[in-house]
Amino acid sequence: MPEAILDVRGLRKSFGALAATDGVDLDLREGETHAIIGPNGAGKTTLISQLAGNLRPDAGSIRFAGEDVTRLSAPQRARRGFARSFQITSIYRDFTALDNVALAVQAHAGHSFRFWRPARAERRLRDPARAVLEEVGLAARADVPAANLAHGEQRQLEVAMALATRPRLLLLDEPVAGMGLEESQRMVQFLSGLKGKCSILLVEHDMDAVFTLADRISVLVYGRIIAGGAPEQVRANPEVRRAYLGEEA
Amino acid sequence: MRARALILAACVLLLLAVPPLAMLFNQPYYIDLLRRVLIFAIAAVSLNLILGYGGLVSFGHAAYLGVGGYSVGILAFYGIHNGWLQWSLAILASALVALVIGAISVRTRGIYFIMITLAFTQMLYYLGVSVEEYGGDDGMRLKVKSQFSGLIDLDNPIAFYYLVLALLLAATYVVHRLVNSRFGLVLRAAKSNEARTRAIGFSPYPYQLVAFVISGAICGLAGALYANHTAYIAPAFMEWTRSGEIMFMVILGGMGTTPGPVLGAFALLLVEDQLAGWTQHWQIILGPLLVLSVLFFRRGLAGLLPKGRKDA
Repeated sequence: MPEAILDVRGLRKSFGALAATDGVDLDLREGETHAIIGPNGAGKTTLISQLAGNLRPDAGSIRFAGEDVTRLSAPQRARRGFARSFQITSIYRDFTALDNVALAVQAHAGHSFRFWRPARAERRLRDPARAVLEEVGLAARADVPAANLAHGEQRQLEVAMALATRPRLLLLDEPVAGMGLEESQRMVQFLSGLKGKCSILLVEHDMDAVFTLADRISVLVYGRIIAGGAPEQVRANPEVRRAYLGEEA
Repeated sequence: MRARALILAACVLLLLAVPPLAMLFNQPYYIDLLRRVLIFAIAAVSLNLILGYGGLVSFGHAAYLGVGGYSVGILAFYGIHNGWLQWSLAILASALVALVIGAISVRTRGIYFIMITLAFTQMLYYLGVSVEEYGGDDGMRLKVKSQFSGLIDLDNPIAFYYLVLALLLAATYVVHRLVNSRFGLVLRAAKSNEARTRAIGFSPYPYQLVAFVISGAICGLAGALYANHTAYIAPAFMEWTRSGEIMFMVILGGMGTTPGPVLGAFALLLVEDQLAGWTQHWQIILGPLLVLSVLFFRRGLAGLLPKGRKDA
C-alpha cells in the first residue's frame, strides 16, 4: 500500500455543545480520489475547512506528505500544494476569467512584492493561465468578467484556479452542486480526467458523481465516520443504507 | 479608450494653462485655489490606493497630512529650512506612523478598522493640541518656506503651482503602476475575495500593510506641500472632518479608478468654494448635493467618462 499523502488522526472540532467533527481518522493515498458523503449537517464542510486551514481543529493532527500541517494557515498549506473549491463558488467576480487564473499562477510564481511591471503583461503568468483555461474548456471566455459567466462556467473557473496552482491535493466541496444535468456530467467527466494526476478529496451529495469518481468512500454522520471502503462495499453496507442511502437505495 | 485618454489629456493641458490664464485675467486667486485643490488631490490619490484598490476604509488619512505638515514645521522651528531634508522627513515620518497604525489596524476588518484608524488620528490631533511649544491649538506659522538649494522658489506662486501639479501627476502615475503590478493585483484580489486569495496561497496582510505605508508616505508629501501652501501648521490639519473630506473625494470621484480621486478633489473643493462665495450657510447646500451625487453617480465621476481599457 503506497504511503498516504494526507493523514488525518483524531480530528475534533466543536461549536459549543455541537461536535461537528468528532474524532475523524482519514487518509488519502497519492493519486487517489476519496469521497466523503453524509447527510446534511454531518460536518462535511467543517471537515474540509479544517483540512484547508480555514478552521483550526480543537484536537487531532493533519499530516501532509509526511509533514505536520495542523497549525499551518490556509495560505501556507496552499503553497505546499493544497487547493480547494468552495461549496459556494468563490472567484474574483470583478476580474476576467484569465485574470482569475493568472492570479492563482502568480501565487505560486515567487513573491509578489513586485511593484512596477504590469502583471497583465507577464507571459510567465498569462501563458500558463491560458493553458489551464484551455484545459477546462473556458479558453473562449478568457476575457469575460467572471461575474458574467454562467453558473457552470464559474464552477469550472474555480476548478481552473485550483489546477493553476499545480496542486498535489485537491479539496473539492460539492463541485457539481447547483449544476444542471448536462453541466454536471461535463464536470464529472473533467474531474475523472484528473484522476491519478493529483489526489482528490471530494465532498459531494450527487451520488452519480460520487460513484463515478471515487476510489474510496467514507460516510460521515454527526461528525463521525461510520463506514468506509470501496464504493461497492459502502453501497452494500446496511448501516450506511439506513443512515444515508436509505432514501435512494 | 481613445476618447477617455483625450479627455484626460485635455484636463492636464487645462491645468497647465491655469497660471498664464489667471495672470492674463488678473485673477491670481485662482492659482492659489487650484494649488490647494491639487494638494488635496494628491492626498485623495494616496487614499485611493488603500480604499479604492485595497478595500481598507481608512477614516484617519488626515493624520499623514498632519505628520507631513508638522515635519516641515518642526524642522523650520529649529531653523532647518532645507526642503530636501524637510520633505524627506515628512515622507519617512508619515511612512513610520502608517507602519505603526497599519500594523495594528490592518489585522481588523470593517467597522473596527474604521474606528481604529479614526482613533489613532484623534490621538495625533490631541497630541498636536497639547504640545505648547509648537503652538498647541493655534498651531504655528511657517515663516520661511522649504528651500531647495535655489532650484525652485516656493514663494513664487506659479513655480509652486507647477511643482504641485508635477507631483500630483507623478503620484497618480506611481499609484497607477502599483495597482497594475503583481503587488497591486494581490491587493485588489484581497479586496475582491479574501477567502479565495488565501486559498490560492496569498497572505493578504503583508501586502495590505505595505500598501498602507506607501499610501501614508504619499499623503505625508501632500502634508509637506500643504504646510508650505498655507504657511501655517495647526492640529486642524488632522481634524476628523478632514479625513472625511478626503474619503469623500475618493468616493465622489470614483473608487478604484486612476482619475477618480483627482476628479473628486476638484468637484468637492470647487463646489465648496463657489457655495462659500454665495452664502455663509454653504454646508446646508453642500450636504444634500453630496448625497445626491452618491445616489446618482454610483461609480463616481470617473464612471461618467468613456470607458477605458480594462480599467476595472
